[in-house]
Amino acid sequence: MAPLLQADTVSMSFGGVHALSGVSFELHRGETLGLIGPNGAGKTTMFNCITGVLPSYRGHIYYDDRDLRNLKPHQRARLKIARTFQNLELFDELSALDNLLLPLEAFSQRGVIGDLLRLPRTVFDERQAQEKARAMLHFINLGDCADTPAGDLPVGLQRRLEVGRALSLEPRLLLLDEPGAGLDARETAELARLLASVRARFKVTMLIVDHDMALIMRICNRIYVLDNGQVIAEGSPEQIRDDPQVVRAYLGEAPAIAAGGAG
Amino acid sequence: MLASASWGLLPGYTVIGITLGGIYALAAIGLVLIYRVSGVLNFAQGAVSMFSAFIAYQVSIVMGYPALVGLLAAIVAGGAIGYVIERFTIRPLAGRSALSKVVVTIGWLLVLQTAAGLIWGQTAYHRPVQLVSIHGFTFPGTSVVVGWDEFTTIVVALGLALGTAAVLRWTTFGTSMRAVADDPDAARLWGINVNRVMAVSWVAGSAMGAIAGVLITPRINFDPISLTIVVIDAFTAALIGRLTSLSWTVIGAMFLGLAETYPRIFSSNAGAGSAVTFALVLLTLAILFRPGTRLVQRISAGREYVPVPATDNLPVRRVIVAAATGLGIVVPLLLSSYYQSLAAYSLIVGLIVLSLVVLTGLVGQISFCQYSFAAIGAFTVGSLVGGHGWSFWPALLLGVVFAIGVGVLVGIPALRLSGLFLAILTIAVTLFFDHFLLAPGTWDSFSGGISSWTLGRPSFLGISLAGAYAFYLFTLGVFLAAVLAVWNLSRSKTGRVLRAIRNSEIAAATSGVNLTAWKLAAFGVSAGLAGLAGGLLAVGIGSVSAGAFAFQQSLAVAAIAIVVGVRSVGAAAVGGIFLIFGPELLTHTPLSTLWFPLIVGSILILQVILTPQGVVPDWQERFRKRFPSQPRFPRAPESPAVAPTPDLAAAEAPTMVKV
Repeated sequence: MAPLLQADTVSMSFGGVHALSGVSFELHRGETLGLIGPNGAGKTTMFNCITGVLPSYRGHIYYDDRDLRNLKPHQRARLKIARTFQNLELFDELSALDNLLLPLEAFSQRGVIGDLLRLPRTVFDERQAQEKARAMLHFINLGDCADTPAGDLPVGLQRRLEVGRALSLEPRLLLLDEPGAGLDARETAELARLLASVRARFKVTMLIVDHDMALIMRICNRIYVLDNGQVIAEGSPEQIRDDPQVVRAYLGEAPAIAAGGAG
Repeated sequence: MLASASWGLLPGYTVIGITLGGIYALAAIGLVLIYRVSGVLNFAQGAVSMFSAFIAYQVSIVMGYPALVGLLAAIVAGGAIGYVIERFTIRPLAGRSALSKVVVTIGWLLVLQTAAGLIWGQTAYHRPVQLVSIHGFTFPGTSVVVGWDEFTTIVVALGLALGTAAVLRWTTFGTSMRAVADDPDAARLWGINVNRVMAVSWVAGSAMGAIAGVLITPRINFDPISLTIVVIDAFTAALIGRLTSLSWTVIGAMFLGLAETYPRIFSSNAGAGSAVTFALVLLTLAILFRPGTRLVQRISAGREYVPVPATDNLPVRRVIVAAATGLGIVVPLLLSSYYQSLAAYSLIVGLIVLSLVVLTGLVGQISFCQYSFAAIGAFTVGSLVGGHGWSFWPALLLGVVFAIGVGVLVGIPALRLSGLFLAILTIAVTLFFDHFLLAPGTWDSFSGGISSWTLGRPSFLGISLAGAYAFYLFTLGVFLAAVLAVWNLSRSKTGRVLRAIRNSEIAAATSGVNLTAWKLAAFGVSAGLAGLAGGLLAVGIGSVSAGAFAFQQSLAVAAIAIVVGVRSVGAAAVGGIFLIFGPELLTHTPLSTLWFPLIVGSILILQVILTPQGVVPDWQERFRKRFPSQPRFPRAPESPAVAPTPDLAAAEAPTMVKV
């Protein structure tokens, strides 16, 4: 069976900076794939290309054998690709519950007219969506905060709310951009448990970007290592841990840095 | 149509165009200077130029001093006004969104324009301040005569542009200005007196505006409004220079001057220049702000995060709404029919404020062209009923549909623009309507030309609305229905989606929200509401003429919407009442209705500084504190925005599925 997501020599540059140069990888159904690499390696750029936030990449990204090239971000979301953000992008003014409600409602066909008149159908749909959102809120353990504006939640809870919002989309592919950033050891452990239960319950294919090797090693089946916009290694967590090139990229041997500066 | 002799005018018009361009360049350089250093798009730039030009008029025409003394007085006045604006109304807003600073400059625009109108007459003829003789010389090698005044204007404009560039590049102070422009906080750490640098940029930019104002007086109608809206030309030139490049700004200004002048060779329509400006604004915005990079590199208008209260005291709210409706039905019964009519107009204007509640309150987009949308409704009804004998109701429906259509059209460029640039665009739209589309000679079968459409009141369900009270009750019904609809909108999917877009476009898009469709829908709803108001106003007043839908009213209604609070549906009624009964109240005081925009502008400035959320939400907040309601669900424990406390984390842990 063809992979769920396939990046084929994807390149992206900003002015003279080559954020990605010819990155290729495959993500199979049911897999939890890790994408690691030092800062500026191009991990978030890759996410932005996959979700259509940066539409002007070169190369191809296939999802379910379909080229995503001309699809807008919301159209890609409708193909059940969900993501979280490194710098939390919650809807701060909306309550936690409404944050989870939003992806559910974005998919419904209800429009402005129904809302203006508040037709019975609208009210019925809204109730149903609220039930689903509430269930999700309990799953991510934020049941107590339904009415709290998302912007008022502590960072740890905001991270979980973002995961919940992505899950509300009922994704087949879940992209997590540094879900562990800014969390302490206890929160990271909780997050790892949450992600494990997400995988068990939603059967979702995941692509995770993070610096936290412990987190990545713990939940990923397979890992790609990016450096300077290129894939420098690929393999199981054990293989990656022992790969000399990876160690060099992370610990920053002099030649590697010089090459990066020139690019 | 095109007489071949017209082409012979081309060289002469080129000189006129370049001269005009030179003046625009001066105003635009002042604008760019202020924008680069303090980050504020100064909508009052034209008003400052205008007020300073009138100071020159006062000194040299009224008091009889030489024109150069007048110019000096104008420069001093311009600098002083610039200083006052920066020191007392912009500096206190440090750290607030760029949009709130823009709103303050809009307030100043209203204040200065009204004050000048009160002192020197809003529409009276004023003799221009002629600095240099209009006699000239023949340009070498041609037969074109260049006036000394034109020559001086071009030289002064280019000289000041070069001088500003030189100061910015080669002097220490220029360096600190550029440092402040890049990063005020970092500049402060380096020991630069940021406040002083900003004040200097405002003083210098405004003084340049003053020179532009004096120079332009012989070239356009010398009255408060015409000079104030020169700011749009300055913006256009500055936009061509991407609001940063001085040389491109000058080139843009010259181009604009020529583009506005050439149509006059062929067209007697005085508004053709406005149409050109409008087209250029659109074109520049379209070229400079291409799609694709929008989601990542947004030109931030600044976000002001105002948490929406999660709970609402519904029973109390219902009592208040019922009581207000009851009073609204009964009280006008006790009034004369004149006041009943005024009450009806209040509600109609309230609808326009409501249209801004949708656009500004939900989408977070500011608009200064709501009266233009209303005008579409009004003129559709006017021309169809007054001109073609249609019945009122289908005409009103069509008017609303047209308004929605135009709203969506305005919304399309707005998709790519953040608040500030959209504000420029909407002002350009207003001027396009005022000076071109609705001006006599452009489309008389729609605008009625120099005459106005007259039409009678319709009947509703067999009841004639000719009586003042009947019409009032009808507008009350329409208004309440519209308020209910907008309230429905704001608390259901549409409201959530629009708020989500305002909070984070990127997250909304990747959650499956079609940004384009929803923003356009909001523009459509907003324009449709304004169009409905316009149609009602047409039959309410009984006649439609172009003068009724002017630039100043669009600004005033936007100002009022911001003052009373664009996030509150209830604010619409308060805003409408204020806008109609405010001028009425003034007739009973020593002041006249002419003072009204000045008062609105002053309140606007004070309000932005004192209660950023708006007056009505501020009251509501106080009210909520006095009558708290039981939350539907317990709120999260008040924890600081760092890590949660260990016991909270421990309490959550057991329900986690262990693998």
